[in-house]
Amino acid sequence: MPIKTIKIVIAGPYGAGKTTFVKTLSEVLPIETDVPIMKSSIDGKKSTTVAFDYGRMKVREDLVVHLFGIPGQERFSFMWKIIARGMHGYLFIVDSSSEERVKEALGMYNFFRENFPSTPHVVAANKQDVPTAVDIPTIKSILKVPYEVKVMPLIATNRRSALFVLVTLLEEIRSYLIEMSRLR
Amino acid sequence: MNSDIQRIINEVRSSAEEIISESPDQIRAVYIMDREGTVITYVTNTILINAGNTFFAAPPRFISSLKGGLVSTLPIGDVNYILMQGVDGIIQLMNIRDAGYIMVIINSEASIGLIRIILEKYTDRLYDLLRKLLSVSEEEVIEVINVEITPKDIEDVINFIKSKAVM
Ligand SMILES: Nc1nc2c(ncn2[C@@H]2O[C@H](COP(=O)(O)OP(=O)(O)OP(=O)(O)O)[C@@H](O)[C@H]2O)c(=O)[nH]1
Ligand SMILES: [Mg+2]
Repeated sequence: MPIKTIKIVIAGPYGAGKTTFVKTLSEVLPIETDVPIMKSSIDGKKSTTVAFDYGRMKVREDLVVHLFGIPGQERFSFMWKIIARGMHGYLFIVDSSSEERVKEALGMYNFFRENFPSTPHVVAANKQDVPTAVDIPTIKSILKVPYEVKVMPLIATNRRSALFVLVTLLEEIRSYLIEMSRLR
Repeated sequence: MNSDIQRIINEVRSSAEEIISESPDQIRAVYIMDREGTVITYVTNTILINAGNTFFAAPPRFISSLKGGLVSTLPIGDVNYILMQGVDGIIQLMNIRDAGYIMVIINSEASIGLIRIILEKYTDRLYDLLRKLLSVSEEEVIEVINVEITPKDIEDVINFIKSKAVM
């Protein structure tokens, strides 16, 4: 029985809250956060240090969800595309605690939009618990988010909030797959 | 960061440092980019550049604007060599075959020829390093996704999450 893999990428700039998001989810969901097995390793050796967050959740015997958090620092940007290849959808997390931080995310958001124009995604406005947090319409306009893409408030340290955003992304992926099968 | 990747990046960085040391009175900065134009490493010449210079302080953004502005109008993949007068010096950009680009910013027109020879000297080594970097990163990042996912699979995931999580 071939094992199906759903690949979800958690993107966003440095300090946006990607690691926190994956960590919070792993507190409520059976996510294993060990390091990925290298394709090249014949003896099944595992790498010990990785450049990205990684989590795996087994849903059925033949269905596994993989979560990849990409490294936000710009000096690792040459890895963004490599990690994102073949993903089914991505969550773009921005630090919405100030307009400045939201603006800093524009370059990376454009990078994903340009390189993965048809991949389903959701934008998450993180750190909404901060009193100075920027509201959703402002984020939409700064990042020029297309009207059909959802921008969701997020508090990555809050389990309920993190789960809600993950489920929303999955629903987007589901709608996209239905749409695609209609087109065929 | 995976140690293989880190080691290769360090080697790319030392090559960039060596390039500066070949002509420290002329070369202001060296950037090594992958074939998409993304900066893998950059080294600035601290003797020629003062710390407050914002142009050199934000090179990745500069490169993206270069890519967006100048290079997107040309097919960057086919460009072998570009020479440009910038506000902060003369820009020499050279193709490292299909693997990436090396870009230097130099002081004066008089050294263009010399620098070009220096750059050519380093292309083989950088080519090898960039190829290695590409293959290591590709091996690292696992999963060739070949089995098709259906809407029903996603529904199962959603239901699984709802059943596991105490909302
Ligand atoms: N107030 C608040 N702080 C948060 C929230 N989520 C994350 N943080 C904080 O933001 C900082 C950065 O979070 P990380 O999860 O490390 O960010 P990251 O996106 O993984 O960053 P890189 O891996 O460096 O790209 C940490 O200090 C977190 O505690 C949130 O919802 N609210
Ligand atoms: Mg992180």
